Amino acid sequence: MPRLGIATLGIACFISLLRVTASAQDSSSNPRVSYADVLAHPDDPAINLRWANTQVANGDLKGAAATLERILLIDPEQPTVRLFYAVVLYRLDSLAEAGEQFHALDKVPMDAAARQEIDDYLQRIAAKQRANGFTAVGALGFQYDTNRNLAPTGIAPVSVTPALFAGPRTPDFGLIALGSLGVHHDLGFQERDELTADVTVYDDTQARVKSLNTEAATARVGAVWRPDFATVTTNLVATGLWLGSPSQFYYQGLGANVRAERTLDALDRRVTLFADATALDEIFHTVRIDPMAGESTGGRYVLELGANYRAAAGVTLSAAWQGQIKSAESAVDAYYGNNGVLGATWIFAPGQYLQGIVQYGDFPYRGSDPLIKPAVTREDMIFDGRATYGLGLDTLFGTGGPGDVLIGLSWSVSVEDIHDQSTLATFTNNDVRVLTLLTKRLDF
Amino acid sequence: MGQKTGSHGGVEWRTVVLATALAAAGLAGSASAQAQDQAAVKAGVSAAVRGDVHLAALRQPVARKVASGEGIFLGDHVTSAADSGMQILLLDQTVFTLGPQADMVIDNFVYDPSSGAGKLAATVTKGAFRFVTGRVAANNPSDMEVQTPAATIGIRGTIVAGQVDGQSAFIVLLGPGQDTDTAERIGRVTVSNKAGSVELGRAGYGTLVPGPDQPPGQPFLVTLDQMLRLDLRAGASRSAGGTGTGGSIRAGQATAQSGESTAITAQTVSTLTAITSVNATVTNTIITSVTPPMRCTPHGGVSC
Repeated sequence: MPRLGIATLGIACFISLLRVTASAQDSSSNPRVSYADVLAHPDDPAINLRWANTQVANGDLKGAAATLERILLIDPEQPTVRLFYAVVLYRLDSLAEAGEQFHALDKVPMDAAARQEIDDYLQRIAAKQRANGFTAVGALGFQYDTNRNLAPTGIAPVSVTPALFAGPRTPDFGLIALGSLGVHHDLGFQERDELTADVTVYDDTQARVKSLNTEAATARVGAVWRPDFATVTTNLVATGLWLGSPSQFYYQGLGANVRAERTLDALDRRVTLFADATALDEIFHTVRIDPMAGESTGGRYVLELGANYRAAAGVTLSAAWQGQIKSAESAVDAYYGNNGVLGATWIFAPGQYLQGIVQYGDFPYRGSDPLIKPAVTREDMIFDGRATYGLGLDTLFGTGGPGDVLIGLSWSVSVEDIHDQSTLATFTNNDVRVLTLLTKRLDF
Repeated sequence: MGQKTGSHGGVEWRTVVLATALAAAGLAGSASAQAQDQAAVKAGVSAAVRGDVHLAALRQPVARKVASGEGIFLGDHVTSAADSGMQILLLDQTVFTLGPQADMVIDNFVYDPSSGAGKLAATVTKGAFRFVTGRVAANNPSDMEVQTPAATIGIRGTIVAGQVDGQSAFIVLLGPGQDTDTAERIGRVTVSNKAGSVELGRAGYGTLVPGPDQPPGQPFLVTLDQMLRLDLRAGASRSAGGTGTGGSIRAGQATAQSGESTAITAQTVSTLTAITSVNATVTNTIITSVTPPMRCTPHGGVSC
């Protein structure tokens, strides 16, 4: 993951460089040039450099590569331009060429921090070119729920509340830990087909509602292939979940997931369509706090169709529809549903983002509980809104020396508001959750 | 043969409406007259000329030395000597780079600046070359084609390099690769001749075409040594790169005069990283990594 470093100062530095170089050609106050200017002065390095910056600003990195190459053809002794060229090639995923250009800077004097940054690029290129790659993620944080046990907002007309969610509304803190290790193997085919596998473990230790202490593990084995029409990811998925203290095995899910993504060439490649299908065989085991859990055993089938739209540099909007069918041994626990999701991500500064997601779903159940008279069939309408702020800590404090520990380290905080409005008052509840995490990611 | 005036980027352009260069010499009668007419159609300009590069125009078949900034017209025959090379900047922003001992003709160039639509065909009969596609290919990749004696390269928006040696050709797809975090179209080319066809879809993969009657070979990952055979990129050997301590842009003699240093620093690297982060996959990676994988609520990832 490329580092952004002390980018704000850096940008000022680079703009200063551009101003100086431009001043050699003319003192125009307009920092941008047109292609016509380049055609009129094709060998002018200053105009070409400004054109390359214009191209980068317009997202035309491919064109910028040709322009920077031209400057270097005219005068190879331009290490800053060569560095620019190397970074552009890296962004274009032209790794062999990028590596060649970075290596061409081997003998250029520079400070140790700059050398380290370039070495980091070379290491990332080498990692990308290896057949086997690993990704490790570790996260630690805590969450606060205003209603951890999802106690009903109203008074239940009949006491059918599962023990799992019984009791008065209980705010609670939870300590969250997460670890993940993934591996991918490049099969060496031209389309870069891959085999993948990963394991994720998750632990939530509650301060008060110990019965909702959660431990979970998920393992996936799959493949990624890239036919002409899309990138297709397939996975076999196995999940286990334990609840309580001491923990009891509560849930196991075994199934498969297929996801296809296609970025449309039209509209400047701003639109990515995706389809995601999951089928799970779920088994619920009876635990102390949910003695009727077994009745939820059955299949779960989820289909998601959506699109991401890159509205502007750093701004991505998304919309999706999810359809879900949950079968169960008891019709009381079987349901189907439709869920709409809208999202927006705004990267407003190097390494900093805001993300907002709202979703609304309607989940009618198949059967009514015989204990409830007169019979009422449960139907849940769930609103979920979440806002997240995230920050790459290396962009805030920089790297180099002891700062290298910050590479791949990010901090996030999110606020989530969940409203479940049910035809059964027992299941009508509201929870606001604040979650903060420190996450470290390593690719090797 | 019509022409119309268009406007692009605040600059008036002469829009080429039709031109098909008849590069073969010795054409007689009306064909010759037509060729002369077409030869007046400007396709681009020469740039970064180094060493001996010669140009033979349709109307003036005697080759003359070419300098940077000269117009390149349809049918112009460009040849480079040893240790020589150049770039050709076409009006649609396609850029051809020619290495030593290369031979190339722009056969066909039709371009409407207002829409980006057009047609582009070129022939490389000898030497190392490289091209970065411009607006014509961006508008419709199949509208651009590059011929070699061994095979035709069909374009799908990309950066390509190649080496033509006699009747054989070595073609390499350079990018953009599948992991690009830019908005650029993923590079892909089709190399075909009458004996067969292969598609290059992964940056760094290439094919060897032994001749026009033999099919292109199966794509393979090009080694660094093979890549260096195509080295026409500004002396990017590991001994190059500029060994000066300043690393200033040449045009910026004012840099030295003003006393401002443009040496490579960590800030320079960070800045270049930042300004090229068009699509900011960097942070998206962070976003993905911090999303908790499961929650214990109804209808969540794991139902409780």
